[in-house]
Amino acid sequence: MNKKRTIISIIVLSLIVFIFITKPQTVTLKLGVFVGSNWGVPSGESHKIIDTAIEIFEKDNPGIRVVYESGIQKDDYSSWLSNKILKGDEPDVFMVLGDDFNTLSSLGVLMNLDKLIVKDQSFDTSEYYKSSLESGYYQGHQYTLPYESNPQLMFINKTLLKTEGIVLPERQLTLDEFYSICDTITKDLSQDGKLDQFGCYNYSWLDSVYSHGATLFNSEGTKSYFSQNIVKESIEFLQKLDSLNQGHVITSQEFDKGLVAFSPMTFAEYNTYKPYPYRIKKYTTFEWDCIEMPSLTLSEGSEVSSLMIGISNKTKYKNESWNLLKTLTYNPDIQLMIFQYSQGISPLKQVTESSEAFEYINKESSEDSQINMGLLNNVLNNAVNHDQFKKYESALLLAGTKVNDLIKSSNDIDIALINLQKEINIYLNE
Amino acid sequence: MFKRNITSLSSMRLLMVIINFLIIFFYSSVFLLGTKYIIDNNLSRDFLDKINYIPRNPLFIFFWSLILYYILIFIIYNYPEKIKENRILNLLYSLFELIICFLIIITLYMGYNGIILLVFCDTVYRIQKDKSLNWVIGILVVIYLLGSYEVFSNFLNMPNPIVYFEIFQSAPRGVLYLIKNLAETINIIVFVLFMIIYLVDQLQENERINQELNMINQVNRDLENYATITEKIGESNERKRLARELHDTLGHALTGIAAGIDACLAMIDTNPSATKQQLGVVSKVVRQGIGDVRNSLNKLRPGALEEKGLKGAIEKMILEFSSVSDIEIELNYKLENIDFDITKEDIIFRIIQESITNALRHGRATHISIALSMIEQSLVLIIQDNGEGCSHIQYGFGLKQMKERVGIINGEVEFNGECGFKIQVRVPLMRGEIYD
Repeated sequence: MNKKRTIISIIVLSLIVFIFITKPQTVTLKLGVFVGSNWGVPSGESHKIIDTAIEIFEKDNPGIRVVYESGIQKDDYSSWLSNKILKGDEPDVFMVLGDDFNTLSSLGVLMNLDKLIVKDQSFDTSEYYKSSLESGYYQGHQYTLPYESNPQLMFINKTLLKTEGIVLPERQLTLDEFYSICDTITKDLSQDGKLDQFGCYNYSWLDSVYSHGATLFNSEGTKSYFSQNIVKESIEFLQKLDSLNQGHVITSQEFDKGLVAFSPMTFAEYNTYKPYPYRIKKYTTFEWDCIEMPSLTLSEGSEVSSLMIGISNKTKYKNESWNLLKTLTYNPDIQLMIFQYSQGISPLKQVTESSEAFEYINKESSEDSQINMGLLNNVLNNAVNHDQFKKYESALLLAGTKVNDLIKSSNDIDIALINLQKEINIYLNE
Repeated sequence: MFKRNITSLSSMRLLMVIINFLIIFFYSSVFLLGTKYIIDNNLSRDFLDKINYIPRNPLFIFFWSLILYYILIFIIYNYPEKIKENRILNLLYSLFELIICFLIIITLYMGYNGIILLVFCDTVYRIQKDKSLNWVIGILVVIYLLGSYEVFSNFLNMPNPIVYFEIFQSAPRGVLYLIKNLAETINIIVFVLFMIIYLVDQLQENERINQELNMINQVNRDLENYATITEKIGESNERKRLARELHDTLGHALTGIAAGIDACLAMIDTNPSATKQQLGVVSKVVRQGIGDVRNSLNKLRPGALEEKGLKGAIEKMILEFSSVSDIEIELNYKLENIDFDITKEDIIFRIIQESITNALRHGRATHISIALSMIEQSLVLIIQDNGEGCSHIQYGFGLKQMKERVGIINGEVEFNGECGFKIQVRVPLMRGEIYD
């Protein structure tokens, strides 16, 4: 009996030792990425950046293999990642969409990078544009690093402005200038009693709030500031702008036909539908360009959205994951490829300010519509970042519906905003 | 009766083991199937917004909770009888059960805490009659009351288990809630039944003990009566013996003396020389009478003292006491060169006898040391026991008599009840009693 037991335990022990010895020495890191553009514009080559980054990483770190599930579309990515998280099977390093960031940080899915950042001598956060970096900032801690940024710009219909004889200043427009141009342009050209030329398309209440420099929430996400005077001014400005159209709602067809002078547009859209030669022939009947968003006193910034990459809190390979994250977000060679194969811009200052980036952006542009790198720099340096707390997206959605109703109604703004603030505060503290 | 209740208690416990298994299986299945449902129906992103912490791998929860439960059952049914008497080990055993039970509850995100009731029952079943049971029950009640998600989510990061029920559509959700509530209610009902049976059993047990106590008291009273009767008989026998002795010795002598003196009275004037002779006979009779009386008195002394002397008699008495009780008596006799008179020997012997009896009867002592020594022409007797003693000494018949007896031989006696009970006797000796 005892002999049998000894033999069995010897067999089991040697099996364990055998498994341990023959265990593959290579580390396999799982990477979660999606294909296509994060900014809703057509794109076919974004995987090239990831593949090159993996190649470089594997060369620098022998013994580590990086695998990723290919073919996940951007629209499915959030759901795919959530499934993985629920099954406890999330990748070691993965892309984080802006809408998911607050939820994932608050749930503790993402690793707090503060210690890794402090420990790594070769890493300096000041290399990033502040606003891009802050996209990965949640309640005082860095949870993700920006991979690709997309600033908000203002589309201008150059043909229309030239026809109306309007010359834009070299600097950013103030809100007053912006309004008076819109006022000048809004006309009934055909004299049929209906307006057929318009100032601005798709200017949202948030665009107005940002251009006024208003803050809507405190950083903990426990209070909202809708009853502030500056918010009221933002809403009133929007009402004023809206009233120019005399109740007419501008359609995308009217915009495509070139009947509208301004429209907010992200850099990615600009980059995709670049004027000349038309990579994608969308706006063919007029010449157009992009400028900075107008602002109240020229010191308020516009919004920049970023695609981020984070590390799973559950990863077994913390340092390896950190190195992979750095290769993706901090390696200038990889980041330069964003200008080549993607539509956004690199959040790394040295890359975006480099002459190579300039060449990539303006490679296919005609001489007079080249994007001014100073403009991009300005936009990124001034950009504001929205607050990061778990209920941010849902609170904003709730407020957005109410504000849009308010703009169209003739109710007293002060009272409506006080009520809105109360309502949002209750929701935030639920 | 008692045995039948034990079996019904253990069958109640078995029932609880089965119900708890089903509930744990149910919960872990809801987590597992709920996750599958979420993923299959593409609800995971919304689900993440509803929870406040990331759940663990549901497959891990499923197996881990069942493995832990198996361990708990193994512990419950493999209770080593050896540790039954050891209170600390018993408590540690309950603590171990409680830890396993708590791990299960935490694994299931504190959604179900009824398993504490099972540990509760098992502890009651195991410990049954012990003071520590109250403590264990108190602790278990507190843990049962505090062991809910609402309380513990403040300390531990875990998702709310109810969210897993909420994801289902109303019809299956209703069924799940029904099963959950039904199973938990049954568990509580079985628990209450268990406790009722246990309490009834305790009451019956108490009654049985009372009856037995009454019976013992009755027997005790009978024995006491019997002892009194025996004592009375002994006393009367002793009187008769005393009367016989007096009649046989003193009676004969005195009668002879009276007759001799009468003869002397008649003869003294006529024949003085014959009278002289006669008085010589009377004198002889008187002397003989004295000798007889002494002999009689000797017969009344303790037999052992008569046969073996003081030391031997004490040793014999100690042996007798030791053989009938658990007491340990130590004798330190240092009076080799002394010859007492009989009265002193008697009194010292009686004092020692009385002290041992007192130590046993009142002090519940287990050890007595007796020291007899001579200090400065005095005999010193010290008797010390390790019994309960008493801070305030009450002089009963025994101690009073002891005092009186010591007084007869010019001695002193001191009592001290502070540390056990100590009796110290000092008797001055006369010169003739000490020899070298």
